[in-house]
Amino acid sequence: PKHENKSAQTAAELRPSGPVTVKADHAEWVQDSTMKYSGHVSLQSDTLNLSGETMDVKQLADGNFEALITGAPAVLDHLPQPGASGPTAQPVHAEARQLSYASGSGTVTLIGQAHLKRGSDEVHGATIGYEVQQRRVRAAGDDQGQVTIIFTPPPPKQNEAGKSDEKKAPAAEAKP
Amino acid sequence: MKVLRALLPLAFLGLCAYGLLRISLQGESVEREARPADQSLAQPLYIAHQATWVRYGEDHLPQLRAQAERIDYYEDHSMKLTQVRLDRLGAQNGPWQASAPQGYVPPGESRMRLQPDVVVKGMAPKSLPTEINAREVWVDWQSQQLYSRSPVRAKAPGRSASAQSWTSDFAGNHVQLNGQVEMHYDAPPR
Repeated sequence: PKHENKSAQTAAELRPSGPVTVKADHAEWVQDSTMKYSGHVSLQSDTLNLSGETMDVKQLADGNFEALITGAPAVLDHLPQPGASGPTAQPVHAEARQLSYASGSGTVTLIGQAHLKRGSDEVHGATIGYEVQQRRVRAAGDDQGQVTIIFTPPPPKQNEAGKSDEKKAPAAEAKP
Repeated sequence: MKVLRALLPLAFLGLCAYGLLRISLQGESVEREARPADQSLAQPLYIAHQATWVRYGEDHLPQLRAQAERIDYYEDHSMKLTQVRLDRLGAQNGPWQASAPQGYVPPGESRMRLQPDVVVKGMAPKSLPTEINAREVWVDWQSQQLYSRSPVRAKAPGRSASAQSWTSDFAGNHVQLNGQVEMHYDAPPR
C-alpha cells in the first residue's frame, strides 16, 4: 500500500524518539545495569505501551535497552498513529505469556499463546513478531500448531441509495 | 477549732508536695544524678569540631567513618553531627558516600539518621554511578544497610527514577526502590 512506499525511512529513523517510562510497585537494581521490576509493571514509549506482572530491563552501552515482560498475560497496546490512515490508523492489541522488546531494532516479540488484533483482523500463533514503527506483523507457529490469521474483508462500499454496490456493479462499471 | 480547720488544707498540701519531691528526687537518684532527658541533650559531654568519628567492628576493622564540622556526644551515648559526610560504609568500604546537614545517633542504637537534604552517591559494582536524594536516610551499621522510608529520587546516566522508599546494602549489591516506582530512560539514540 502507498503508505509503505514512503521515502526510504530506515528503522533507525523510525525508532521511538521519546523517553521511555517504566512504572512498577518495586524495582531492584541488579548488576550489569539490569533493573528487575515487579508488581503492575508498564513500559510506555511514544504510542506503545507494554504491561504485565514482572519486567527485566537491561540498558545497553549504546543507550538502547531490552525489556522482557511476563504476565498472565503480558499485554501490548499500540495506539493509532496520529493523523494516519489505513492500518496504522487502527490500534493494535496483543497478548502473550511474554513480550520481548528491543529498542534497537524496534521490535516486540510475543512469546507463548500469542495473539494480536488490529481492527477486525486477528493473528494467533506460538510466536508473533511485531515491528513497532512499521506496525508490521510476522507470525510463526510451532510443532503443536500453526499460525491462524483471520482477515475480515472491509464491508462492501455503499452507494447514495445506501444499498450495497455488489448487485449494481455492472451498472456502476457501465457509467464511465 | 476554727484555726485547726483552716490549717488542715495547708497541712495536706504540704504532705503532697513532700511526697512529689521524694519521687522526683528518687527518680533523680535512681537515674543516678542523670539530668532530665531534655537537659541532658542540651549539655553534651564532649564537643568536637572538624572531627572524624570511626566505628570499629568486632573484627577491629573500621565499619563506618563519619567526618563532621561538629560532633556533640552525650551521656546517653547519643550523638549529634553537623555537616556530616560518611565516606566509608562497611568493612569492605562499599561504593556509597552520604552527606547531609545533620546526623543523629539515638541513644543505644547502631544506626545514624541523616536529615535534609541527604545526598547519597556511589557506583555499585558493574553498575552505573548513581546519586540518590532524600529528605531522610538511615545508615545502619548493624544490618549494613542504608534506607529511606520517605520519597527518594535517583539518577544514573541515561535514567532517572522516583519511589516511595529505597534500600541498599553497604556493598551496593542490592539496591531496591519500593512504592510507585517510576523510571525514565532517556530516548534511545537515533
